[in-house]
Amino acid sequence: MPTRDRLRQELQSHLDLRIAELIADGVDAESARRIAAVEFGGMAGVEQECRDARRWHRLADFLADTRFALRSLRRSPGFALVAVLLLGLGIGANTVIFSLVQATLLRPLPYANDSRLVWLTEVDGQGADQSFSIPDFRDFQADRTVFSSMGGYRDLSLTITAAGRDAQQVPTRITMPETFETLGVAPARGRLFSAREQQANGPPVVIISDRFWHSYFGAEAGVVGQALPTSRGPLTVVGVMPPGFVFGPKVDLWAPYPQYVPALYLQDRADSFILYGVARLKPGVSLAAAGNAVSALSHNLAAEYPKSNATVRAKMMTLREQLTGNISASLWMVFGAVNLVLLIVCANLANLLLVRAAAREQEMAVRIAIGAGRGRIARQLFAEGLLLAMLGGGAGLVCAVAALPALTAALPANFPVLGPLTLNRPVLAFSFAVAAAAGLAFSLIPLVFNFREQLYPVLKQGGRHSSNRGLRAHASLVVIEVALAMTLLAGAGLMLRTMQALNRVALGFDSARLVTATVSLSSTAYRPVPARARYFEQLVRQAGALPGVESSAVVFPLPFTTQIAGCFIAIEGRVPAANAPQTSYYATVNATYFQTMRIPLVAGRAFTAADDAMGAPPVVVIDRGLAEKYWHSPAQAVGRRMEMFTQDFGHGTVPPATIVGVVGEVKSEAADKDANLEVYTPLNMANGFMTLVLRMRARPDAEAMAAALHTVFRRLDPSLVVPTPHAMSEIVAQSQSIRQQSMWLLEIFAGAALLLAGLGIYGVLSYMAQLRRREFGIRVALGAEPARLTRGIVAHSVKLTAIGLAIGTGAALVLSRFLATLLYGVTRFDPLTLISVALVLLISAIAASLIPALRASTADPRTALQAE
Amino acid sequence: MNASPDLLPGTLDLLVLKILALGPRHGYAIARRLRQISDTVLEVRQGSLYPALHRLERQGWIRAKWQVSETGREARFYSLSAAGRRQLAREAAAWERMSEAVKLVLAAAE
Repeated sequence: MPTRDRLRQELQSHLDLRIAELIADGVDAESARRIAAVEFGGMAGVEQECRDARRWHRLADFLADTRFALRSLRRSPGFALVAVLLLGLGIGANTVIFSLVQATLLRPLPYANDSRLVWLTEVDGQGADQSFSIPDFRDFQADRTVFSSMGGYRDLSLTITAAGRDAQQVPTRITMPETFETLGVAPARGRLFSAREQQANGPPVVIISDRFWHSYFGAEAGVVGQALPTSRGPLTVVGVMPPGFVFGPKVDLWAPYPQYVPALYLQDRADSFILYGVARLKPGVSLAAAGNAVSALSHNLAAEYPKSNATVRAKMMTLREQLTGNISASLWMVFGAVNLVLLIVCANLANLLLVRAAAREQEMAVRIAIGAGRGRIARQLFAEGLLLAMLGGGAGLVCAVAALPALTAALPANFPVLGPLTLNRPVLAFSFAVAAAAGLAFSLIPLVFNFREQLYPVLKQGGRHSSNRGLRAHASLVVIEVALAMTLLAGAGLMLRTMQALNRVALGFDSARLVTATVSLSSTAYRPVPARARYFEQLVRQAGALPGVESSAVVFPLPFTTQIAGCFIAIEGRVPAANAPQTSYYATVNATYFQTMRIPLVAGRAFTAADDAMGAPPVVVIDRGLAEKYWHSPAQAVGRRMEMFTQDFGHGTVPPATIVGVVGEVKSEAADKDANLEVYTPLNMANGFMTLVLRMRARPDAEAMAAALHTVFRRLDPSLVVPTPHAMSEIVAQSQSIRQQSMWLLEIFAGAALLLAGLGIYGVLSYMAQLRRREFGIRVALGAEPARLTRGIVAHSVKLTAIGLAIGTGAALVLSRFLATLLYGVTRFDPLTLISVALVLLISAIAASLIPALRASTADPRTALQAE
Repeated sequence: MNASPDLLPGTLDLLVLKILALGPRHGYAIARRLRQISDTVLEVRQGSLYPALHRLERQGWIRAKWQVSETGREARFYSLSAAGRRQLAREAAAWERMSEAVKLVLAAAE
């Protein structure tokens, strides 16, 4: 670029030459200078224009382009509205789902350097999680080869007994020393536990969450030092955690572990498995190296304490994975689905833009004829695409803002979200990126179209562009849309069949019309087992007498809840192999339980009231799985004797019991998990925490039932917290809730994809038929049957759809491996699903093509030929 | 002074490219040549010639070099690039079609 001086030199030399010419013609020098100057025009102005012509003047051009784009969009309001609406929905849905992904899988945990934190537990010989025993935990904590620090925790509930308020259960996490330090967090007010407070006989203290500080203490400033009254006595608040701090699902209180663990657990390596570990990797230590070290330590412990630790192994994973592992597959699947929908939206819009570009060919030609540069036109088309994308992005944000609260409310209660769903910076950045990518795609399409064609035809025969290249672009877009829709529909179909399979699974009991209410006997009066048994016996009787109740029972633990009770067993006459201790799960029930839950009796007899009585000879009932494992048939198990070893019965074992009956298996955790081996004990081994189960005669009126139960509970013991009743069917449904929700979302997106693809096909075929209207008119005039024309158009649509289906099926087969962990009862290549989904798409495509086909063939040939 | 028709901006480009196709020239020479071969019908405002030249140069259709001119002084000479040659052909063809079409319309209107 010539410098300022060079430019002026050039312009000046022009002037000089002109002056010289004038002088040569005989003009005097003075007049020549004047004339030349006037002819030239203002030197400064010309200089500026030259400089402007050289510089791109990006900003001014950009604004001009944007204004032009706005005007051009305003001229076709229908197109603009449809485009912005479609884009808004597509980008909005994408943003909402991404905010969910971000809040769950991507947002950093509220701890320092959270990627270096790991979670640890111990598993038994069969890989079942049994958590750490305290001595084992201490051994791991002392080992400093790979961890810079390690903490531990256990979850329980504290009952808050404030005067004048209803007693409430608050989820609490008791933490070992060093836990908060491992997490690297500090309280917003007050302090963490002191060394003195983290001893077994230390002063009773508690750290509260920010949420609890607001809800219970009304956010009063002097909360540190205040007493929180609980059923264990008053706890002094020593600290308040910052807002947004989360450690434990719905946990609001943290207390020192040593104050809560009975002394006997402190030394017991064998049967007391009760805490989980959280550790921080040393800098430079990889996850794999830590895994090896942990494994080695487990082996050492197994060698050193063969009796208790022979088959015990430690298990480690990143803390993030522990929190979100079981839902990441579902979430990414839903995210993938919504992106597919957005791609279909973009394909539809690309079709619309191509049509528009063809219609504006004449406008482009005129503009070029009057001097607009190609580059300028290209930039303007680019600006139009970007403007459309930005408007769509804006509409998308509006949709997202509206939809976020709805999604938050619809999330199942146990969803591990690390904070509220908001449009924070990462989400906004993502939304912007998506809109920009879409804008880029849109701008390129008319550019490619316009500059591959000739730009200068001014008068064209027919007035409409009907080049093969344009039609092929439309056809390709239709194929792409069908392929995308097929992929999405295939995934949705597989999920639908999975849910169907899950719902058909026999649970082992009848969950219809069952009401449950879980009671916690949290006062010291119920420490002796006879007191508990008596309470529950009375509860069963009084609740069973309520109107509408067919039968009542109590159980611990209730199937499909997170409560689970494991034990070791020893069968009389079978010596367990050294490395394979016999484990099982157990439940405590009363005599009416099997009948109330309609669990079938397979051999022997169920419990009777005599078995429930204190001091009765020890008996157990086992399930069919256990019976068939150790004896050939259930009938053979009846009358045998076995022993159980559990942590809830202190250090000692239960006296050997006689097996009096065998019942059918019950799915105790989830429909898609195998039934656990189960040993049932009668009510004289009652827990302090059991669930009342009522079978109703008819569908219960929820409010009346709750009120009646409330009365029964208060009458029995007013000092206990009155539990909230839940329907068993809801509890069972909750165990599938995340899968269920993702399936619903997937169905919605698949439906949207089908609709959009159908509309796309309809639109493109209408357009193509309209382009060929003249051709059709001629053919009909020459005697062709309209029916053949119709068939031709429909056949064309079927051909495009078939290609799309083929591509989509291939894509579905490849992508379905990401779904594999979510499927149940159906393989990922399931032909039935693929075929049905393909048929649905094919029929939709044919339906979408019928109207334009019929319209094209019934067009009056005269009007078709005349419309030029 | 002739009553010269205002040149449309697009046409100016075409004419400049054509003149340069006949050989490199500096700005003043282009203006003079245009006046000559159009029989003085076409007169370009000198204020619009130089911005056009600079723009064409930025678009890559003409190239510029400082050289010694016939008067012995230095001048900025413009020459047609290969891309410019192609552009000239395109624009000339378009112009032909346009003028044919206009002629047809004028003939028909009588």
